[in-house]
Amino acid sequence: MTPDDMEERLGRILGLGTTFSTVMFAAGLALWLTVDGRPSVDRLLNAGIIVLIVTPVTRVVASTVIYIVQRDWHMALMTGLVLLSLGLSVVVAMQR
Amino acid sequence: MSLATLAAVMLAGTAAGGLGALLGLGGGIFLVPLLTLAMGIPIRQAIGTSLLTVIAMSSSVSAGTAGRRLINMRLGMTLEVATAAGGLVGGITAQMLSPRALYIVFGTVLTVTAAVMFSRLDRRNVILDPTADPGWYGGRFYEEESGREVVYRVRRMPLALVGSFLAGNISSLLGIGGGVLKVPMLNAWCGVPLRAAAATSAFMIGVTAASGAMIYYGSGDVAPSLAAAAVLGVQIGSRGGMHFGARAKARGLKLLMASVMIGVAVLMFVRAAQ
Repeated sequence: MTPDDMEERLGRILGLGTTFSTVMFAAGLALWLTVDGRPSVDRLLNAGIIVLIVTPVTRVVASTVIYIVQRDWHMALMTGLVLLSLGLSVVVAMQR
Repeated sequence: MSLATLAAVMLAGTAAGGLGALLGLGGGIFLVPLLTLAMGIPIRQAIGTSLLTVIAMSSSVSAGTAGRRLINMRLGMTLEVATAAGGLVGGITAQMLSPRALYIVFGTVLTVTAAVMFSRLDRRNVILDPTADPGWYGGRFYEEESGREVVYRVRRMPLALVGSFLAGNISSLLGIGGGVLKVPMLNAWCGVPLRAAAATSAFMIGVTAASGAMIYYGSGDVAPSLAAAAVLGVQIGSRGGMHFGARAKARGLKLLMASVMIGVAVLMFVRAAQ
């Protein structure tokens, strides 16, 4: 995979995540304004938030996999370290 | 939550999307004071919402610029290590520095960097010879302004790493992406052309903000309706920013960047004086 292919593939992941969360937010907000207080609306908005947060994390996971497949160990180590610190944040978040 | 608040947050998201596409900034630095000072939203909720806006800007702008070779992935992902580490130890250094000292340091760094930027308005980082060797961290992209492929080399990598560490540090303290530090640093001191610095910063700060956002979300400091409004705003703003960004001259973008930095510095000094 050339760097250009990689850029496009990662761009597609980010675009997909953004589209999904935008659709959920638009639908959720429209419902929130019309039928206030429904738990299903809250669930939809919360799902949108989770997709939003997970999108850049998915991008880092994908980059790590690509670098490992390409045997670019220097960059695989870098993205692995980023993933490790994101993992630590998940642990902290779960404890709250 | 009132409709006026939602509309204001959506507008702020639009501004963040525009700034993100043009300059690689998430706009959190303006959003947090707007939400707290003007709308009376509690600071932790404002920071949580702002971090989500930064993520939305990052993903949306990077998806839009991918394929134009402006994002320097090798550089961005290496600096991300420093930013992530900075974000993690942010909690520790927060206790060592008073908020007042933090604002003063931040404002001073911005003022100095803006001055450097003003003095370099017509200095270009690009090498017009497409056969030049960009080196391990450098890159090449097609620049519409000069109508050809240009090359750049990255200088002072240790400085870029230290700066990214500090940006990550400040990010989790203030609820911003840190682009306001990284973009001028990469452009003024590390040899990266402004457009590439902006695209690379926009690419990076989603990850920086994600680690903070998880913690705020886990603590219940994110209002879903505010997040929804902000993301919808970002979608609109980033489209507009990309439309104008491709036509804008590097000189104009630098002027805009330096002005934004002066504005933020003034904001910081005002808060230090309060």
